[in-house]
Amino acid sequence: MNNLLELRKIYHYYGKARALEEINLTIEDRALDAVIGPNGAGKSTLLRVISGLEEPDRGKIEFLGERIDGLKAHKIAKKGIAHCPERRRLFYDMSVMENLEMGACVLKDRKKFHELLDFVFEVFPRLKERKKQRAGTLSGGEQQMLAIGRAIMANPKLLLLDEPSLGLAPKIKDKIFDAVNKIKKEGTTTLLVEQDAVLAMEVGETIHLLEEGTIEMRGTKEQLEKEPRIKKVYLGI
Amino acid sequence: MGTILEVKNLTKKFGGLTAVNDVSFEIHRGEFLGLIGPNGAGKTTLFNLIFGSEKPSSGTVRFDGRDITGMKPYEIVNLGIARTFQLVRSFRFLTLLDNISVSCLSPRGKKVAKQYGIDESASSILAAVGLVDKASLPPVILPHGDLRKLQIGKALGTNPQLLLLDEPFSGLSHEEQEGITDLIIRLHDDGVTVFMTGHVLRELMNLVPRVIAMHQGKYITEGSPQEVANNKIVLEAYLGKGSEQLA
Amino acid sequence: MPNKTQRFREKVLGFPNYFKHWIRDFKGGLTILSILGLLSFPLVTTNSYFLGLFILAMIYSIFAASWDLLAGFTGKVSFGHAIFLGISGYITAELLKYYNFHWLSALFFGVLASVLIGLGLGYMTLRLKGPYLALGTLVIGIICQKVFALNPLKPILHGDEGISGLPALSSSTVVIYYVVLIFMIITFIVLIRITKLNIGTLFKSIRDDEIGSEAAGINITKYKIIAFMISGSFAGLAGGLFTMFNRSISPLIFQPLYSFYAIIMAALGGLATISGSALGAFLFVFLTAIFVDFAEISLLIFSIILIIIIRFTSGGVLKPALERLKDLWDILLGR
Repeated sequence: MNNLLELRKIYHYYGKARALEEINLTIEDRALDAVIGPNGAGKSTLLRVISGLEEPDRGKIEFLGERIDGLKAHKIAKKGIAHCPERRRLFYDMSVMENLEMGACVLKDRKKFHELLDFVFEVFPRLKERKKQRAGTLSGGEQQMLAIGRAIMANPKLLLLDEPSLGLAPKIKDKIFDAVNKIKKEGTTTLLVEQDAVLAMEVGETIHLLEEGTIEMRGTKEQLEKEPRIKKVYLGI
Repeated sequence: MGTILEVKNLTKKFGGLTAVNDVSFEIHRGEFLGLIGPNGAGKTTLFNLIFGSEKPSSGTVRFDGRDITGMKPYEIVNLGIARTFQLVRSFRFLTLLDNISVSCLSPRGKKVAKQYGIDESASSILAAVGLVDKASLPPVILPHGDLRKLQIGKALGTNPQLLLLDEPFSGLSHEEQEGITDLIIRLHDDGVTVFMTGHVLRELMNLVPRVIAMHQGKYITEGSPQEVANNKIVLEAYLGKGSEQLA
Repeated sequence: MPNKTQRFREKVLGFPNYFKHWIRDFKGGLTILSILGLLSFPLVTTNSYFLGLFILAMIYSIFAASWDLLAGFTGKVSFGHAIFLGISGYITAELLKYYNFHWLSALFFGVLASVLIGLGLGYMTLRLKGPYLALGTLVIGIICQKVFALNPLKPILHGDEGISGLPALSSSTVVIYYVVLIFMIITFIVLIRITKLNIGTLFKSIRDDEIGSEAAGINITKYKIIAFMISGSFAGLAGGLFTMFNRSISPLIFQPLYSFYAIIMAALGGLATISGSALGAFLFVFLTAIFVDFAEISLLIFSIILIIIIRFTSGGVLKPALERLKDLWDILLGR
């Protein structure tokens, strides 16, 4: 069993508010897992705890067999986890190229830089066209592409995508998710967090349903569709 | 029965973004009403517009027949609307008793509280929310669920007719949620009109008899929780396009 | 249910008992001792240098306490409290020298002017918070200093020479001492009482959470301005007394340094305590007096001491000192 990432009994609080409660999660190498759930369920918190932006209050996180909970975020990034945050958070005053270069700053092997750059432009041809354009002037969809591209430039072993479809038109959403599929085919393990359950279930192999900080159920798309639980989790009844 | 709150064509624009788009609905006196909608639906902005924290770009809000559009929050509180906030806030360096006393000292709260004495009134409110044994302690010692109860207590100090509850359940354990639910039910039984919103719909949808749904700033539909949860647009808003098979 | 008359009667009849308990209680006893100490100090010495030090400390404590009400209790941290000192001082000086007012009336009008300045300043800074409020008040203070020193305005504002040669309050320093002491006692009684009343709770609620206070139905604009006016009136009192004690005033009274004095003294003694300001003021004056002879090194040492005190007694010196003294008090009373 090749467990790339393992979370065991993870708890996290924001002050006194509980955000994550007894999370147990394993992600296999080369998998594309999705975490779905309503707003406030803790999806973003889950990614932030993995990438080190938040330190979990309790529990263990192991990446490639090594404990990473409690490590600072930049150290975790160096170990091979790239976090593409909610709402993109690009360097809006820098160009597309500069953003991608920034993403590559953790690269140990500089020779890989061009290889990765070619891959990013292959997956997102639009970014190649707009190499010199200021990131702040790109459209929403292009910004999301750049955010993902920047994460790829770090040559991650694990890619964390936080709500990539947020605020995007359906056509663009499809483009983004095509790209996610391509990335998966290249061999990068991906953990995707999405509010749009339908879309997430199209791409995800294993779906985890998160509700109020705990994982209510997990399974494949077919398994989840059989259960009426998703609607209950999102809409309460 | 009568209408206690009437929202008409309420719109709020922030630059290019329309957070609330031509929303109209009514709340009847003594009702128990829920407001749902995914992130960005405009729920908190709507609350802010009703409460006076934001001024609408257009549209009106009428409370008890009176136009309150654009009034300041403290004026609106003194007319009879109180609210709690999504992020718990408290007066950190005051005792729990004083936290409640502050609202009892508002012009509206004072009218009632003065009869029994400010401290006594604050005390009985603390008892009503189940915190009276910690009256002389500061809020920092309270767990999250109790902080939410304290907020509700603070709202009660102003003797409200309409209570706006913003996400009363988020971040709470199931027991804590039940505690809040009991409290809210008791308040409603006492005659307070309750209008609540949230993302944690487990409790909310089983609590309120009527729900309004919003999405991307627009009013979508209203009805019983069952009706609304099965509404196609609502399902798509929450789960994504093509989510009927999940219903 | 006890009605108003009954409760009032209870309070009045219960006062002697209350007073007895208050003295036996540590804080009351300490307060009485301090007042007695101050009252009897001139009996120990009539040296005008030492009396002058105490007078200065008492005036500063009024100033610092007024600042503490605004900053410690209402959360409005002003870096321009010297404005009140100056405006009140100038009015007092003007009326004393050029219009031959009795010192009490001159002082009264100085305080009145401060109340109005408090109203204006409160209104102007309504939307300012934290660093912006600090900066705004600091700037207004500096502007006052510059404006009052302007040559073209000399006929009205007396330029950078200011007003000097004011008539002394009394030929005896001891009399001045007791006058200032009485004002100090009145100030502290009033300010401490205010913090214990309902309005004190409202001030604190504004400090802790303005939005929450508004949501509780409080008109925060009204109370912020009231806080400024009360604080300003006592700062103005300090300003008038200061001017009369020095028998002169110049634009230098507006300088940021004096505003910083209020902050340092209140912080030294303990924010949001009011009584701490007295302790802080006396401590500050004594430290300055001790080091005044030791050339430039003194400033360095002095600053280091201040930093150490503020760093290690995060609540000011008052509370830790009170803890120690309280234990001593209990021992003395045989508990």
